[in-house]
Amino acid sequence: MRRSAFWVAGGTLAALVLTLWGFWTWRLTTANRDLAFAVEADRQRNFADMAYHVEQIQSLLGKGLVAGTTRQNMRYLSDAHHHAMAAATNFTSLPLPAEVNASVGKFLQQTGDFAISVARNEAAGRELDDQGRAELARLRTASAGLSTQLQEITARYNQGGFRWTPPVQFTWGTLARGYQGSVGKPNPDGQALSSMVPGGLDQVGSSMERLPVMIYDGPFSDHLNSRTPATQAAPIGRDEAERLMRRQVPNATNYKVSGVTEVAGNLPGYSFQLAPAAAGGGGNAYTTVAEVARNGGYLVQLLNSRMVGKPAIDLARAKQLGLEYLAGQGYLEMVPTYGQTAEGIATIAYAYRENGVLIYPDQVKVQIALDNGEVLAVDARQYLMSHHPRNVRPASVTPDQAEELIRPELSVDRVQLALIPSQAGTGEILTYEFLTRLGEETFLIYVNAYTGQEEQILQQVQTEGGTFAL
Amino acid sequence: MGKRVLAWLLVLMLLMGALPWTASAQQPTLRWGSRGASVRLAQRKLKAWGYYKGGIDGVYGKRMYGAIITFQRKNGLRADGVVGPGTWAALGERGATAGGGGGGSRAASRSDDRELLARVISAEAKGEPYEGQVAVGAVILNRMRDPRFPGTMAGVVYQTHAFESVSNGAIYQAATSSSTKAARDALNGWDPTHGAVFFWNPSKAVSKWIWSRPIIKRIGNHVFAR
Repeated sequence: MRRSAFWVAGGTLAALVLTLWGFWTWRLTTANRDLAFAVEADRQRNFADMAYHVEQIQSLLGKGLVAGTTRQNMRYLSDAHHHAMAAATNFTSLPLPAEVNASVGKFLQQTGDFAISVARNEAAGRELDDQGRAELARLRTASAGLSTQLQEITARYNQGGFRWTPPVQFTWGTLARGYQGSVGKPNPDGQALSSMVPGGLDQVGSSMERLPVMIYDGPFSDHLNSRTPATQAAPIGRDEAERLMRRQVPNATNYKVSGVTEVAGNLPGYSFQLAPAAAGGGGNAYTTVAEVARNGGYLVQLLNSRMVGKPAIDLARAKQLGLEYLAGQGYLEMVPTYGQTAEGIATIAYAYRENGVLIYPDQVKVQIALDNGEVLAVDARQYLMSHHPRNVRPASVTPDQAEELIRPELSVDRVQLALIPSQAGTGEILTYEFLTRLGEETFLIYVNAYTGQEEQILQQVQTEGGTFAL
Repeated sequence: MGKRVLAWLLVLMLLMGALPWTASAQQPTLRWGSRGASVRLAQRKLKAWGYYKGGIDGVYGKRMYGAIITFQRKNGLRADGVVGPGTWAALGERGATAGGGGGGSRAASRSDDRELLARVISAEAKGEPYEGQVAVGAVILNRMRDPRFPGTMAGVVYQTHAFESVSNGAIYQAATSSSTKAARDALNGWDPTHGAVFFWNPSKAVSKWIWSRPIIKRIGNHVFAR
């Protein structure tokens, strides 16, 4: 009697648990399926949209090539830019491995960038030359090819019922191996791409990779990545680098070197990891890193992670301290341009001045701790990359002539000659920098000192505590 | 606070030599003489509706002024030639609402960016040396400037399978104070990686392709490459 009661009670309990568990699983599966469908819809839309935009790009570039007037051409190319940006956005939302993503995404970005740079040039009166036309034709062929490939893939997907995110299947396979559905997950074994990429997209990626390097006047142009430093000097060894590092790092005696790594790239060098000399141990326990250029031993970057205490000095004093530090390192003729403070640290940018011309590309940034005035961080990459004797050609427009361009409601507080990087980042332009005021707002207006054309406008912001100032 | 953030925005622009009028969700206030993508956008819209007859050149000039005045009159707006929030709304775009050239709202998005950057750094480089944390922040900013990646911070961070912390949800945890500082340094232009756009942990298995990238530097447990 007691035994059967035990079985009945136990059986009921087990049945109850099983029922609850089954119900629970069913709920989870439903929720999972809904989520999978939601994600799927998003990805399908992105893929279809991308195919649409690529088709538009190739047709617009084609129209741009045959357009009879510059005005029409500009219109088609601006539209092509718009579609290329939209396609790139769609494309980067798809779960694809980096290698496919990188090549196609880059193609779309550069196509859009090239189209808009041509349109921009045309707006400034520079017509598309034969070389640009050939480039445009090449891009058109490439995007037409991409468009065809995408259409084929779409057709294949539709036939084969392809899913980016299939819901988890309630099968033994899932139980044994886990969820296998997600496309494009980073592959631990590094096996062939084709196994992870939905049919055909891997070939799209590799055909894009074979496209030649693009050179044009735009921010995404390939040649910007291959810049070399302007400062060339004989390479030095590690010991010499350490000696020079100790001369350039503030309070260097407080630190011991806990490690050195070599840095490759445009500005090769040695990176010294510095730990407080008082502390024991080693390994990764460094608080400061100082990087010295292999050519010439200049301090490239300094980064100190010290948390700072209560501020004891102000921005003006910090600017002075930064200037003194730079002068001590041989950076003469530096002028503080912008500075601001946040959480006890002042970040100040200094630009080089040559014969009264402010050279903005030759810039060094310094961080000063406001508690004790210590130099916490230095970034001299821009200066080291771009500094060279320029012998700037004298301006052919007078300040008064340039000022005629400034709208009368603006009051001019100051004017000075400044060399600024061109919008595309490919060259330098000599300008008059006008510090102007409109009501409470401050604008910096840059007028080309040779042509008298307006090059750029920046708005400057003064903050309540005067923490950010020129 | 908002102004301080705005100051960050400006300093960032100037320090990094970035183009000042990069795309933002909210459109700045446009006046005679304004230039850039927002002007082009307004010109495109006005042209599509037949108000504007000039070229889409991104410069607010005489013809555009005329077009704006007509547009404002027809839409019951104050015909002052200034494309503020009201006119933007009529154009079907979101204008910046804060006064003063519309900087306020752009600043807000910049502050969001810093918060997001700090959280990624925190999730991806917890336990790494400070330099490694700044480096991870720099990689994200470098990706924004690289044609192979999306152009916005959210685009880069949330790109599918780009960051493990997004896949496993670690990114939704609050940022540590050192990653907040690292995010600030990275936004100020410090880049220990010299332009790297990839990083990975060599002790964890990754694809062969990633190893074919030119390696620039190793910091802590991460390898940085272009």
